[in-house]
Amino acid sequence: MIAVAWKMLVWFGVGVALALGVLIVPLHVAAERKKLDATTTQVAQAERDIRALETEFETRANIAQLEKWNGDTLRLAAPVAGQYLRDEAALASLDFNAPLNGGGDVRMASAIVPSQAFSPTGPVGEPAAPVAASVAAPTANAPTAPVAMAAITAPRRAAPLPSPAIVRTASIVKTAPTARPRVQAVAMLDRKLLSDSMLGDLTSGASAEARRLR
Amino acid sequence: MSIVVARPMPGRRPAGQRHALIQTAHMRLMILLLLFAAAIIVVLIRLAALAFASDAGSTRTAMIGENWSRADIVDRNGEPLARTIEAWGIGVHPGKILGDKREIANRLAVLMPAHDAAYFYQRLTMDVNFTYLEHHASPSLVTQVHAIGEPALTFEKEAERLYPQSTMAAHVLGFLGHNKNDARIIEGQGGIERAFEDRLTNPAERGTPLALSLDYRVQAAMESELGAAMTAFQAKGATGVVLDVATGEVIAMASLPVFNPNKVAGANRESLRNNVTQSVYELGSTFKPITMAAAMESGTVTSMARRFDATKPMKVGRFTIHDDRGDEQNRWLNIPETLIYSSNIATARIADEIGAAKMQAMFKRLGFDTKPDIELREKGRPIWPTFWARTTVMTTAYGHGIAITPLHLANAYATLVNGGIWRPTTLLRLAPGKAPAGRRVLSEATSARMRQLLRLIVLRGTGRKGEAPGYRVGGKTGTAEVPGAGGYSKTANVSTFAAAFPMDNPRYVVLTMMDSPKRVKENQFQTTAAYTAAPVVSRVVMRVGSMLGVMPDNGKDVDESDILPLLWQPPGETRANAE
Repeated sequence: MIAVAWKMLVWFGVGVALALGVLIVPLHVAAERKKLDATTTQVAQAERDIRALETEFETRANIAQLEKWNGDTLRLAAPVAGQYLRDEAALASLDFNAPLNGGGDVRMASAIVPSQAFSPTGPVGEPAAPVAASVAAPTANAPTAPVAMAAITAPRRAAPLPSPAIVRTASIVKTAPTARPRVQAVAMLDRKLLSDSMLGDLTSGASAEARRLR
Repeated sequence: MSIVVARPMPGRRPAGQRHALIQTAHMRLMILLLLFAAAIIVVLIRLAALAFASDAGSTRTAMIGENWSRADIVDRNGEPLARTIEAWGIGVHPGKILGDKREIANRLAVLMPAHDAAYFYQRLTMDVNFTYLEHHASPSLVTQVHAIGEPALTFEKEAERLYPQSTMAAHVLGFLGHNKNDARIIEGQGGIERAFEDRLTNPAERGTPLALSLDYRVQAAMESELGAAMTAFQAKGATGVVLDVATGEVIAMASLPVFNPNKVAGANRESLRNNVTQSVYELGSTFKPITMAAAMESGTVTSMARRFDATKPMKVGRFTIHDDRGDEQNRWLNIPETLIYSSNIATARIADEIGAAKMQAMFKRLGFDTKPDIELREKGRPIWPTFWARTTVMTTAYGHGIAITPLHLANAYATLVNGGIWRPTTLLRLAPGKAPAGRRVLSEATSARMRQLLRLIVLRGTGRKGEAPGYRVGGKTGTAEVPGAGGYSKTANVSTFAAAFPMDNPRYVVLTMMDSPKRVKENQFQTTAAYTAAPVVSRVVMRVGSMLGVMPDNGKDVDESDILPLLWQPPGETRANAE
C-alpha cells in the first residue's frame, strides 16, 4: 500500500517537474519580451527627454530673444547688396584694403544661390556666378561690428540643386559642400586670410584623421 | 485500604483495524500533498498569466495618456512653432494634510507668487477630496513644492501646448481653449489649431508634424520691423504679408497688436483679431495697378502713351474727384505718369472707359467678392458695392468704395506680376512642383507691362522709400482715409504699400499696412504710405531677401527703356537730375 502511495508521489513529482520544465520556456520568452518592452519604453522616454530639451532650448533661444541679443550686443546687420559679388571677376577687382569705400575687416563666406524656382518670363536670370566676397561695412545698424561676407556659390557648374529656392534658404550662410574647390580658390586669392602654416596644419590634421579612420 | 490505580493496558487491535487506520493516515497525507501542489500550481499559473498579460503599449499609453497627443506645427524649414510637452499639475488632498495648513500656505505663496497665502489657505481648507493648486508647473517648481514634505500635496503630469516662439505668428497658429459646451474638451480655438483640429488630433496623422508654408525667419523679420514702425508711428495696428507669387504659399503673415498664445487669458479682443484675413479695408491707390491691368486686358488702353485729362478735379454728378494734395500735376497724364503721380482723376477716367462690367469682372476674377482663399477660419467678407453706379466704378478704380482684406490685395499683386495666374493662397507647405494650376486672369504681356510699371513707381514715383538696393523692388503705395461714423476721417489713414521683388523675375509679394499712424518726427510728419508703410517693406526685403534666395545685384534691373521716354520732364530739367 505504502509502495503504491510512494509511486503516486513519484509520478506526481515527475509531472510537476515536467510542467515546470515546459513552463520555463514561455516564461523565459515572456521575460525577454518584457526586457524588450522596457528598452522600448526607455527609448520612448529618451526621445521625450530629447524633445523636451530641444523645446526648452528653442524656447530659451527663440528668435525674439536672439534679435534682442543681436540688438544689445552683437549689432549685426543684414549684408547689403555691395557685399555680394557676382563672379570671379568682381572678386578679383575687389579692393581688399578699402572695400565698399570704407575700411574694415574683410571676411568671406560662401552662399548657395538656390536655383530659380519660377520665372514668368522664361529663364531670365542666368544663375549668379560663383565666388564672392564681401566686406565689413559700417552700416547704420551696425556702427562698429564687422559684417561677415557672403560668398555666392551658384549651382552652375556644381552639382545641380533641384530643390526650389525656399528649401535651400537655410544654407545660405553655410559653406556649400559642392563648392569646396571654389572656396579654396577664394582663399588662395587672399593670402592674408589663411597663412601657409595654418593651411599646412589643416592638411596634416586631415590626413592624420583619414589615417585613423583607416 | 489502599487503592491502586493502574493504567489499563491498551487492548491490541486486530490487524485489520490497524491496517485501515494507516490507510486513512496515508490518504490524509496525500490530500494534504495535493492541496499544496494545487496551491503551487495556482501560483505558477498566476505567474505565467502575469508574464504573458503585460504589454509594453499599456505602460507607454499610461505615461503619455490618450488626450495627450496633438501633432506639432512646424514652419517650412521644420522649426517647431507649436508643440505639446509634459508639464506638471500640483494638487492637494485637503483632508489628508498632516502639517500646519497656515505654514504650508505661506510656503506655497512664496513659491508661487501668482497667489497670496490666503488663497492657498482657502484651497488647503476646502471641503473636497482633491483640488488643483497650479497647472503647467515647471519641474523646478515641482521640486521646490515637493521639498515642503507634505504628503497630501500630489504631482501629476499633464499635457501642455507650448508655442516656443511666443507671440510669433500667433494669429496664424491660434491657441487652445476649453470647449464652450464641455469644459473637459480642449480644442483649437483660432488659427491653424482650429482649422486643422481633426488633422492635428487624428491618431493616424498626429505623429507627423504639420508643416506650414511660413518661414519663421521671414515672419520674425516682418513682425520685428512692423512692431518697430508701429511703435515709432504710434499706429493703432499694422499688418504684413509675404507671399510666394508662384505657388500662393504664405511665407509670413503678421498682424499687430499681437497676443501670446501661451497666455491667452490676458489678451484683448483687438489683439486676437487677425487683421490680414479678418479685417477689410479700403486700400486706396494700391488698386490703381489693378485698374491699369484691367484697362490693358480689356483693350481700353493699348498704348502706354495714351493720355488722360488730369488738369483739374473731375465732377461726376454731385461728387468731385481730385488728386491727393502734393501729387497734383494739373496736366494730361499718360499711363506711367498716372501711376507714378498716383492720379485719382486720370484713373477714374480710365475706369469710366473700362466700364462697370469689365471692372467687376476683373475684381471677381481676383476673388474680391468672396472671402480670402486660405485655410484659416477667421476670414472677413469683403464689402462689395451693392450698386455699381458710374461713380462706383470710378472710385473703386482707386480703391475707395470697395473693401477687401490685405491678403486679397497681396494675392492680386502676385497675379499682376507672376505672369497673370491667380492661385488660392495657402498656409501649408507645398511640395515642389505641386502648386495649384490656378486660373489665368491676365495675359503674359499685361503682366510683363505691370512689372515695368510697378518698378517705375519705386524708381520714380511715390514708392521711392520702398526701394531695397539691389533687390529690384516694385510696388504701389495706397493711402486711404479711415471710414467712421459721419464719413471719412480727415486725420486717420490706412497706409498700404504692396510690393514685389525682384521685379525682373518676381518671386515674392511683400505687403505692409499701417492703421492710423500719427504724424511724428520718424515719418517726417507724414501719414501717407510712402512715409509709413513703404520703409517697412524696404527694411524687410533687405533683411530677408537673401534668405529667400534672392541675391541682391545692383547690376540687374527691369528694362524700362520703352517707358522712360514717356515721362515728361519739366523744361530745363534733364532725366539725370530728375533721378
